[in-house]
Amino acid sequence: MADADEDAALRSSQPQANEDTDLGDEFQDFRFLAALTAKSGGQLPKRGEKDFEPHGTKHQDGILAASREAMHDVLSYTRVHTSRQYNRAFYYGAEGLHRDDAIREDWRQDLEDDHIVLVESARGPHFKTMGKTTTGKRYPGLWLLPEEALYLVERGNLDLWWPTRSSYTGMVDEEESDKQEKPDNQEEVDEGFPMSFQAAYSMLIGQDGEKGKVSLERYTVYAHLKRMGYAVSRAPDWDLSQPGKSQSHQEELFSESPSIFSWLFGRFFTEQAIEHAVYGPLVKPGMYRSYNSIYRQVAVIPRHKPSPNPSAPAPVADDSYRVAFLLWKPSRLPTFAKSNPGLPDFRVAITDARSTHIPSLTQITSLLESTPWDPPKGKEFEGPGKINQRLKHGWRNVVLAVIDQGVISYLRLGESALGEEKLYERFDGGSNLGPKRGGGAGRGRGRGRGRGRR
Amino acid sequence: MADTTQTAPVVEGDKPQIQQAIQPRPLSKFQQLNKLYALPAPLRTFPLPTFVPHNPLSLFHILYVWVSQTVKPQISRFDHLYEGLFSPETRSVHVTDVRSIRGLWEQGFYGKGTLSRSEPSWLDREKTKRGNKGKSTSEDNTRKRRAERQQTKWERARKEREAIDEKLLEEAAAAVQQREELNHVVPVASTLVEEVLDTVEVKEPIQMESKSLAIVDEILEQALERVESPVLKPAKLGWAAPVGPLELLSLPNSDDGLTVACFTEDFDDKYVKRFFAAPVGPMELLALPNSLRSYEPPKLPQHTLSKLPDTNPTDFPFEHESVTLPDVKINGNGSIAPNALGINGHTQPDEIEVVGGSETNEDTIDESIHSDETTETNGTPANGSTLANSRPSTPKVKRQKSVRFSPTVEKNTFIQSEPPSPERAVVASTSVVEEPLEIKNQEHLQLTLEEAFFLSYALGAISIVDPETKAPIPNQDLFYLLRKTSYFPPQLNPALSPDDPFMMNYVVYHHYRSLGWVVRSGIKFSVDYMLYNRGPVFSHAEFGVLILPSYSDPYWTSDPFLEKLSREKQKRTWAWMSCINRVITQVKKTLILTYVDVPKPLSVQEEQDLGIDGVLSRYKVREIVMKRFAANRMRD
Repeated sequence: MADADEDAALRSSQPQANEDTDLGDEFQDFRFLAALTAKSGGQLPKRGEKDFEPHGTKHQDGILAASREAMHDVLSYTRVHTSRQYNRAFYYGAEGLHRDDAIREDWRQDLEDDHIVLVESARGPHFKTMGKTTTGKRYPGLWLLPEEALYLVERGNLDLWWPTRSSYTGMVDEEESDKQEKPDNQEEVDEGFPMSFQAAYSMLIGQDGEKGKVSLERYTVYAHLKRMGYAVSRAPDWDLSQPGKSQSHQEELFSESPSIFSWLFGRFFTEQAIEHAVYGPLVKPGMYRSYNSIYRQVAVIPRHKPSPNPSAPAPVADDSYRVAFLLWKPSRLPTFAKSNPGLPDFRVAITDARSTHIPSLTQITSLLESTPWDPPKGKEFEGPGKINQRLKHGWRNVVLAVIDQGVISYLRLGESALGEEKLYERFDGGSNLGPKRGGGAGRGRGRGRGRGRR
Repeated sequence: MADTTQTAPVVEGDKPQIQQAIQPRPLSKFQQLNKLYALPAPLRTFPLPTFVPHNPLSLFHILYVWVSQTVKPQISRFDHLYEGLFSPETRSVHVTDVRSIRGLWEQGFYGKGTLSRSEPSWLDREKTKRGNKGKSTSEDNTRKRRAERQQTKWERARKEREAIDEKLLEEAAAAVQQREELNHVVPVASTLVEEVLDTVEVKEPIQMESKSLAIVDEILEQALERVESPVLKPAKLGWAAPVGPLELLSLPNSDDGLTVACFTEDFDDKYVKRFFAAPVGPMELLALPNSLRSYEPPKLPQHTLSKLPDTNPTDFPFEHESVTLPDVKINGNGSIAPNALGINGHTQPDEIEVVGGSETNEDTIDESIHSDETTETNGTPANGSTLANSRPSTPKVKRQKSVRFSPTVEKNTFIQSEPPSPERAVVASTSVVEEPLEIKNQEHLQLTLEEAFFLSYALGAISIVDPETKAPIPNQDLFYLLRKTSYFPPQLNPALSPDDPFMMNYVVYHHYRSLGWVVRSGIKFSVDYMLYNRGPVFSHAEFGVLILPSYSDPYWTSDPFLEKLSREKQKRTWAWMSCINRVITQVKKTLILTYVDVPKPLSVQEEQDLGIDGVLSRYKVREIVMKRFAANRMRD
């Protein structure tokens, strides 16, 4: 329940500012926290004027003091862990008691190599999106990946222990032996001993590709996204030692048809290959009835045509430019199920700003081709006025988290194709299409003023 | 909109159909723009008239136009090509004749005026400046908008200052009251009061509620009446809300301001110090190194405060800029008109220097245009005698005003109360008479190499002339000339690499132009190109294009040296990318990473066999849209 409260606090602290202001730049007025802790009416905090310098009024000093006070109050808030919420887990990684030695094989079916933390009793809302339950035995165990375990430890939701050989079996025996000699047995079983926070970090953080560990970059991104409320899971391309499985997702068949008519005629026109004079001009002197015919002669540089099944797929990336995490929006959590999560909302690749450079065309193509075909379809992208939206959305997209010494910058990369939107086709529209589009007010997109500034 | 001739299909010869567009109803601004920029490219089209099904006659019209065009075919290209002069020094192509300048700008927004922001409008601005009613240019609008914005900011600053001051006064008054209670109530009154009223606690006046304070006040008054001692009452504050900038100036930014405006009593030291915290006054701004050079900051407080209140307060800081502008021009012609002085001068009791030189580009341009005249009047040997007369005759003691414009023009000193010297007046009057004569257009249009080549090679709408031989340069020569010129220093080697700067830029330029975008330089936005839909006069650019080379051809990885070379060439750091992305986001545009896939190099002979279009078709262009992903705003 404490979690629910915290989440509410987080959510209400979301600023209502417009999209382009950066959170980090904003003035931190902690007075709103005072309102939250005091539970005064539960109204949303309002952002005040930004003060740039002290101007000597006691009023201002008072505000500052109140803000400071509120911050201290919040920081000094004591969190209480109730026994109901207490979760204990055991670490079965390579540097402790190894999982494959300690646990019987039929108790660890379907696990991946990185599932190294066993949760004794899973309580709380976090396990709705985290962990993996083993199948094929009477008592299912819940196993966590290193980033999941570390996130929970850091959050104070999980108590991580070094196991002994008898820890797990003892736990199971306890269940299986139908709680016969309950009170005494507990003392006899050697449960292991608790792991410190530092130890948890050094056990669970490592290099990419190390078994049972997660790199610091990936963990930072994971924790950041989790804290914002997303459901995060590893993508199929997670393991850098394996070749990427880019095409594993099901492609929907090529079904988009802009209009068969224009398609036919587009073919008809392009196939009568336009002969150019060797040294131009590309537009042969003569009489032209439309700008369409003029601009068609100017097209000499091949344009990219996005396709759900690229004819010449880029080689699969062997480096960091590959999707590491799949994201589901927090708003989808109520219906989220670990076993059947549905299509993710975003795909995140992670790169280090210091050791890598911006992706080359090959890298970025293979990264984008590992994501599903996502053309600008639907009502919001229809019509001549939506050309910018279509181009910005792109035909595939991926989120790239560029991480620089712990500071994450998220970028959305979209495979665009400006060749799909031929602006010149509107140059002739004025005289022919104008009346059809509804006369006087016919501010068609092409002829129109544009949208001005967004 | 639909009933005006927007595409302006020019049917008869060269004459554009302007007459047809003249209507009783005046055109809206938008319609005017549509008419002026009707042609999207410097080529004409001859569309057949629209067939209207319910009007069979339109069929005949179509037939007629079709037949007449077949019999006497029209040519889409203009009869006289536009003309440009290749300039190797500036690595651009200069267009100097008015028809070409207007044509290239209006039909596709090519080029940039050398003395303007983009549209060549120097002449118009100049005419407006000289009083002729010219049309307003975008630069003028910008300047006006900036002035307005400045004024708004002043206004806002004033209001904020007022609020702060009011707060300060309130708090000060409260503090005074408290102290009074402490200082006077306790020692003077307490003995008396205690006798009268034991119930009220006077020793801790700070914690008193207002009610009890009022009681104490009453008691105090009674007590004072009895004692008849001159107790300091809360200082009567001779204070009014600051209205003009001058009052603002006299407010607590300086020592004097403090004493004048607020308190006669010595006041809480901490408070006094705080008054000096914020340097927000206009005088401080003016005293910054950019403006009044001879203005001495140390003198600031006494100087300004003693003098400024005499002037018309509303005139001073706001009109400062606008005053200097006419000055510049008039001085350029050798005289100073009285009205130009009048604004600043007539109430000015002391010397004040107004400097106008460092304003904007336009002003310095202005300067250079008139430089021949200015030097004449301002004291070169040619006119030395008049100056010799006038200069010593200005005693330093007298009230005088000296106006300086820029480092190139000498200081022009004259006596405030006297008219300009007669010699000067003569010079002035003659030049004033001459002035309204023709202004020679000093501006030409500059085409970048990519623009020039696109116009020449792709559209065939311009002929580019060699600066020496005055002969048009054929496209195949131009191609290599421009590629060589794009290096610095220009290369002589005829075997040029496929990724030379011109090729990389031109491929991208051609790609977007051939799709119908208006492509203009993006240097002001930290990118290579900006893409406009239709053109900059219609809408803001939506996209910024960043060119990135890509070497995915197997050739570039065929040997270790080439591999290293190509890797180095496509290396860009994330810090660099973040900078650009930040700028582009700030101006609300979208960044398009445009990857150009560089093919393997060819020999000169192979390239010639392919032709220019063959060479161009070997490049591939891919676009990736990059946008900041605000994870905390995509949650639902």
